[in-house]
Amino acid sequence: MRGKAAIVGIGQTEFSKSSGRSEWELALEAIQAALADAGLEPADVDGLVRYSYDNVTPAMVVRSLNIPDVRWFSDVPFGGTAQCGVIAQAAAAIASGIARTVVIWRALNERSGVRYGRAERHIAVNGDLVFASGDKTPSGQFSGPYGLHVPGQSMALWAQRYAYEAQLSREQFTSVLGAVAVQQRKFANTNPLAMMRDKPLSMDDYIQGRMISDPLRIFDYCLETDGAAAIVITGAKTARALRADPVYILAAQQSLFTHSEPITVYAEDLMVHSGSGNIDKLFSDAGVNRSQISFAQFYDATSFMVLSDLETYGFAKRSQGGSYILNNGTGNESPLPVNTHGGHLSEGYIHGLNHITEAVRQLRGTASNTVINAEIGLLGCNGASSAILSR
Amino acid sequence: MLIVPKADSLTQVYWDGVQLRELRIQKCLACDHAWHPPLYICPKCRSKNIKWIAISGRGTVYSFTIVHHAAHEAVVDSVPYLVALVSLAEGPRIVSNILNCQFNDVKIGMQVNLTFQEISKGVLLPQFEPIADLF
Repeated sequence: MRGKAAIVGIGQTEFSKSSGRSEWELALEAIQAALADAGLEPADVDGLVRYSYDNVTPAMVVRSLNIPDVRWFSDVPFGGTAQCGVIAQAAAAIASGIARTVVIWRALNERSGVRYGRAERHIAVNGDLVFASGDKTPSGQFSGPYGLHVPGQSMALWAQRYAYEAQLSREQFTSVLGAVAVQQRKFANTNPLAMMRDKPLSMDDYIQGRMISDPLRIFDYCLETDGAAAIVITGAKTARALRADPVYILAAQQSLFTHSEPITVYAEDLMVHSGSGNIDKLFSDAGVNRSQISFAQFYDATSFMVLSDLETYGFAKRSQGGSYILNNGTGNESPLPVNTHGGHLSEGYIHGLNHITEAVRQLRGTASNTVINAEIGLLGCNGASSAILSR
Repeated sequence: MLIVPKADSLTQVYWDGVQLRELRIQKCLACDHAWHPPLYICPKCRSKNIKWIAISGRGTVYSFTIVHHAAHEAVVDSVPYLVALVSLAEGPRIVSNILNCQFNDVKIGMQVNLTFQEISKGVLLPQFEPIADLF
């Protein structure tokens, strides 16, 4: 699959707290922008991939854009696990010849509509006794009655355990997480697309932020966003004919392991969120080593995931991610700039698809916070979903 | 408003045990592996020869969080509250609130014992509390 498919178009809507429009309309705007960016027409599309969570179906897109001949379409479950799963499926379809040109989208009114930071969508409010059912965490029968309701609380449990294993004091851990949040806000302040472009965040502001689920504060959490993003992927030969700067997919994967069912609290080792060996396979599939990676866009539902991903992807040893961040930072002057658009914490939350559009902008040299001479970018979510892209 | 567990065909034995003040998990008779949440066959050796056992009641705090922001309207008046992961002596981990414990006293690695909490008339939840004689 290495290098056989490339991203040739990216598109998005405004990211806001209240779009005032349906997710369907947002999806169409992003998809049309991505096709225009690629220099393609809807009739050129023959494959579709979406997140299973999306309310906009392939049929809604095909009918709206009058796409005459879609031969292949696919859904990828989960949120962060879908981030690069959608890339993997599109690239595999193109490499195998099932599809020639694939459109991927994610559209959500996640602030003005159904909020993922709330649990009422899983534990319906109807009467004095309300029921937690199923065995998923958070919010199932074994967690909902205890007040473990949303992913951001499960991640606080990961984070607390991490600080214990890494022997970080409360103050040290605050400094580490704060460094991630403050740096990503700096990136957002110079990114015109970011929801937080006009809102600076100092370390003092960060520390003053209210505690949500200790040890995580308000600024450790992703934003809630209304918006959509889309990308267009096609075969490498077509890509080179379309534009001078296609972004090649060197490797992409999605992973399940025994305790994957989001958001795990049962895994034997809560610091590990993917199958064994799949990170090594990612780098070997891509034919690159870590020193060749110019930047990373890590799926940051919380700031803590940046810290854990530095370890998951091998840029810091286990329990050393904290000292890595304090020594190197995650800004453009560091060995590995991370979430150069501001990430989910400060650009917007489009389930990681906006991390992919940022990676493409970096590799085209058009990002607001340009990483000089960026050649190869890494995308990752806890090892559960990963990709390596190159210019 | 109160959030209560809803049993299903796979978990009925667990909640039946709770009503008898017993915390039950599944164990494989072929390989001795124990796990939670419930499954149909042993996830380690795939044996169907599995049974429910009552746990000893001893556990260790694996991690915890103090929830300050209610994410469901049922707990608006409950914040701040403590949620912990407890590793059972038998191996599996379960979610619990640590009862009879100040927020400042909860520590990872702390030994805890099984207890039961009546959250509503006739509705019990398995819970844990610090081992008294350590304090």
